[in-house]
Amino acid sequence: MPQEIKGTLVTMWLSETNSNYKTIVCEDSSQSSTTSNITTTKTKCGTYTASDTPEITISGSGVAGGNLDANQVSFKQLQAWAAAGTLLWFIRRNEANVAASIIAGEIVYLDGQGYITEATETSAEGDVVKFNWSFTTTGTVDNTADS
Amino acid sequence: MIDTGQVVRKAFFDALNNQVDNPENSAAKVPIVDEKLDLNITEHDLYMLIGGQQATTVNTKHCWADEVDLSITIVNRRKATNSKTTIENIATQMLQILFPTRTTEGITIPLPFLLSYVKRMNDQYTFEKANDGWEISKQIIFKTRITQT
Repeated sequence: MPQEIKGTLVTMWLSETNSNYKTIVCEDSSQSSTTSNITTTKTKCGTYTASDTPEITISGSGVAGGNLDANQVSFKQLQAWAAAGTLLWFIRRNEANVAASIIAGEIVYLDGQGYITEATETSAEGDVVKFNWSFTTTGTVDNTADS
Repeated sequence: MIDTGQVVRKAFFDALNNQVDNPENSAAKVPIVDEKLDLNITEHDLYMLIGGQQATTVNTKHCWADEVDLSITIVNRRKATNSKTTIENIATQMLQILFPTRTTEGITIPLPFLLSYVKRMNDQYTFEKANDGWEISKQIIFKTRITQT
């Protein structure tokens, strides 16, 4: 029977240099979406289909905060990367759950490059500062975690 | 993960205990009591009662977080001479203690908890007919958001 894990274990890590990755805080939810278009052409010789390059969008929401650790990324940094159009390296994966015999990247894993395409902050009266972010990949995306 | 029940209740108690003047007796303070003492406070005709409490989990992936609703009821049992004015005076003192400025809170939460905010959600008057007059109370609901690592 498949072993389930909590979504808490799935996090997004970003880096400008493909090293010293930092995770987005404080994320409360995120999701990834992979879409591609299939083109179908019917001819007298048969039906031909072709697919385009898949587009992967990863997005999420969270609560913005300060006093971050060195391996954490703030909303402010996300906004700066979005404004500058900075090409980033990313890893999105589940962390290991040893008790459940799940290794890191076994259930969710993507890595590659892309851009922060949205960084939206919401500051409502009587509530904490919240934000939404979106990341769109470019080029080849790997979905195999290094062992 | 640590239960947030007592830490929130204590923060409000510590902030208000011996800090609210009795509008009808300048030499006295308005006592604040926990609901478990309710049966023992009938000798007080004017008091603040910490009542119902409810926590909602609002965790993120990086910290535990709770939003805790806490009820504090100002009770006036002065019977025949009762009025809302006394309760409103006490409520004003409470709010000035709990919200000293537009952007600060008057309660403190010890580590490992961090206070995000306190806000007043709503309040409501209640009238009860007693044998010898009226009991007036005002219930104020506060929401406190705290995190723990």
